[in-house]
Amino acid sequence: MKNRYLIALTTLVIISLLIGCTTPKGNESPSTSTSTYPVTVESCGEPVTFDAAPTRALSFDTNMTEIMLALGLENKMVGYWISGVPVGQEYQEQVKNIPLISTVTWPPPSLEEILNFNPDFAFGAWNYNFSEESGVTPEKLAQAGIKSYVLTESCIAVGIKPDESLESTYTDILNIGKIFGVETRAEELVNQMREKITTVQAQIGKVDTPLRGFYYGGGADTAFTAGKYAMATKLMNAVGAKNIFGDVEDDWIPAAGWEKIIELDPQFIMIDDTPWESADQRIKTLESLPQLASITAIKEKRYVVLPWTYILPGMEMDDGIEALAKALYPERFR
Amino acid sequence: MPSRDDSNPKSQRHLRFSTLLLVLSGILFLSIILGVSLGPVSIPINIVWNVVAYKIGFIPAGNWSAGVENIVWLIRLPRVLLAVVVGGGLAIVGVTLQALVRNPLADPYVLGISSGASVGAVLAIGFGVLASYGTLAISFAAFLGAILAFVLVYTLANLGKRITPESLILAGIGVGYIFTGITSYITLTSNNRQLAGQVLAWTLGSLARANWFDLSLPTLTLLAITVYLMLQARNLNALIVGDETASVLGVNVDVFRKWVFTLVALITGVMVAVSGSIGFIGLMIPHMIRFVVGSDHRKVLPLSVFVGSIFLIWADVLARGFHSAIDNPIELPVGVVTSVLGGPFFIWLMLKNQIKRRAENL
Amino acid sequence: MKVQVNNVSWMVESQRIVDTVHLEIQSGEFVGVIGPNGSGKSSLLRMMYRLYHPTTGTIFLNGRDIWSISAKEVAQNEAVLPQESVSDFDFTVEEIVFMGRTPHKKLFDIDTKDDDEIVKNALSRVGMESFAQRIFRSLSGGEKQRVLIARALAQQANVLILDEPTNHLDIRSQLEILELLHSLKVTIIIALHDLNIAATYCDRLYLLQTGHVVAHGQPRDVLTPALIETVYGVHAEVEIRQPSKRLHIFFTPKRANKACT
Repeated sequence: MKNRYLIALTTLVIISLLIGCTTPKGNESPSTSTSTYPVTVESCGEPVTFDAAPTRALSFDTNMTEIMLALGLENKMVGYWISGVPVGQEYQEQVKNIPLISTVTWPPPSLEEILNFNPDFAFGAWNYNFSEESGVTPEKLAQAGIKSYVLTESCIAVGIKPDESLESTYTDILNIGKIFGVETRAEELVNQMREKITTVQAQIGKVDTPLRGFYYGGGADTAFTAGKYAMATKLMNAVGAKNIFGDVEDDWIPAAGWEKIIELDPQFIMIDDTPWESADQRIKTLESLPQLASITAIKEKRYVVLPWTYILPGMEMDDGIEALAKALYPERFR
Repeated sequence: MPSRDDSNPKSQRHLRFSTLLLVLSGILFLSIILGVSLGPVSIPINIVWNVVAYKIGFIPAGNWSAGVENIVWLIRLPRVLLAVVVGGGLAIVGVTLQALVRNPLADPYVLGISSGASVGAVLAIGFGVLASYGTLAISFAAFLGAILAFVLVYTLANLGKRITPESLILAGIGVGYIFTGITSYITLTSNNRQLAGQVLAWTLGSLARANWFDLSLPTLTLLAITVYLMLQARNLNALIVGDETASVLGVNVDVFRKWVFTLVALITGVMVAVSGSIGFIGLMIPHMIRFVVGSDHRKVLPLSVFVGSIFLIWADVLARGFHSAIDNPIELPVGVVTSVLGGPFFIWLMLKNQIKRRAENL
Repeated sequence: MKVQVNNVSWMVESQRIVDTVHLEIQSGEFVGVIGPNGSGKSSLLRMMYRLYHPTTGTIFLNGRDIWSISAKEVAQNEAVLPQESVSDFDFTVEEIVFMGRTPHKKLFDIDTKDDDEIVKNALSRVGMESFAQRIFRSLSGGEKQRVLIARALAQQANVLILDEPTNHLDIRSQLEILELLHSLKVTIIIALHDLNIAATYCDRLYLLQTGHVVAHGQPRDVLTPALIETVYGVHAEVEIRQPSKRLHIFFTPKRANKACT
């Protein structure tokens, strides 16, 4: 009789021990690091190693900040900066108690303002907040003991050839997850985005002839538009449309002459609505240039206006694809 | 002793000048034809000229797309014609200015006029000043800025009651610095992230804004100014030898200088207003012409207009079409092309001249 | 063409550079204006060729106040070889001489065959016709002056004013220029620093010191040892050669002077 109790007790102890050792990681709160440090990620081709999750992180601009917040990292952040567009509604609560690095939307924060926050990590991008001219570069921050992660798409500024697909955005999200030890959450987010995009693409169905699209980012003498590696082009590709300049080996094309655009005759024009120049202003400019009158998209006023954040690598990428799809194929989304 | 041409009677030289003029007219005409026929979009040359003929009313509508028609009639032809006017205008201004300050290193921008125009442009681009003028806002604001700069330079240069070459250059450079400083300040402290790029593009100069409406004023100005300066060619010759020489040959030097400076400033203002500050032409084309025919303004003025026009037409062809060779629709600001093209060519001409001068033991 | 300078003064910042000067020059005279540096020679001449406006006094050209007529009209009657150095721009000799026609050209006038003739004649008058296509800047000092004289001739003026035209020239060029001028049939007013040349070529002289005319008249009356000592501060001996009646001035430095006495 005593033996049975002993066996039951021992079994109970052993089972408890086993349970204790095999509790699934997903149940733990995100603030507990579960990565195996040290962790190394590639930022613009350069390896960056983290011995532990950063605790004093800065994020620069809307899309980078949204990635941090979507991963639930607000408690690891000591500051953020936006160039004019606030983070999405769903993130407002999280960002409430994080101070702005600078209240000025442009130019980006200076080195002094950044150092003032005593950060240990910066998540930014070339030509968003990093630039050679301003002196705010990952190298400079590294000298001050601040590690950086740079948005992959912006690495073209330092000569890294970008990719033509949406994968780089997923890579960025996963890398941030790795750095902060929240890989699982990162994978969830990425999968959610992939699913949404697949669903949208399924709803689009078969596209016989891709619609000819043109991204217009302003300009009257010449047009600011997108080449092969720009997000605007990737969005168009994802919905079965084609950027008329989709074969040009460039990411953003700052000054395209109108002749080619007239010849290639886009059927729709994608315009991002920005705080520094509204989509309405851009449409007004397009319609004020008589030489553009023959363009189908302008004749039919087929403008697809998207919020600026929809054409950036980040959490709103899938929203961008969905919005573009609904605008181009309204009949398939009733 | 070496000489330019010892046994060359006047009639022969007149003939040479007339021939040169004729040849240049031919090249100009050809350049206009080619300039309109060429572009990043390949259009068969017969279609190009059928479109033009149709638009003028010579032939009925033909079998081409609206896009092609717009490209030829609303982009290329106005642009090439603007190149003719601006190229010629900047060149003739350069010639005149160099005579006015008796300095071969002067160009239309040393007098601060284009810096004033930049301030006008940056205010219009960045702050919507004069926005009620719509697409003309920038040009108009730039022109007003140019006039403001001119008034300042004139007043400063005239503080001693006489405008001398030195006072003009000093006042021009001083005012230029001030206005450039203002433009830089506005651009770099602005919250508008696009402003710096837009202002830079405007400053480098572009013919992209060419349209039929905007052609009339610059064309009239150029014609009027060329005629006037040709009539004043003798006085310019005397002035360029020396103030005292001009005076004893009967030129009222101070009045003449003030009047010509005012006209030069006006025409520079107009040119810069429609096309930004396209560099090189006003500085170098006069030099090139003088290397070949000497300094007599009766030759230098008309030849400069022709060569300036031809040069700018081709610079614009390159600006428009250069990158299409690598399948990129990027269009360069024409000011970049003029400098890149002009610099080496000028160095070559200068070296040739050095050799010649060493032979003449100057 | 009579030139009259009436009580003319020129002041710069309360300094009297030229002080109440009176000159009368008759048609065809060869008049020299002499004096040491700073005596006001150049300023006086500049007023006479309408470059400076006199502070007081009037200058008459054939009875007309030169400031009451246009600069152009004055230039039709007065030609000048100023001291100004030529600028950095290339002109041929012929082009330079052609500029002499400027005062006679109205706004829409073109160059006529007559102009060509006048220029050609002017060049041959000074012996430079074979230099017509040469670049002016490449010429020697004497050659340049001859071209400028040709330009003055092309101007067809009756009065020729020259401000020290023989500075920087070698002795042969100096004499050539003066001989050339002497052979011209115009009124000549010339500022000179060389007293022997002044003595040889001038009909009359005006001697200036600190802006005043201290003496005027024929060379033998003006170039006296006493006056030369007073104005120039050097000891001189003047000899009148016979039978040519030409004046020669010998200068002796003060040092040697002391040794002699």
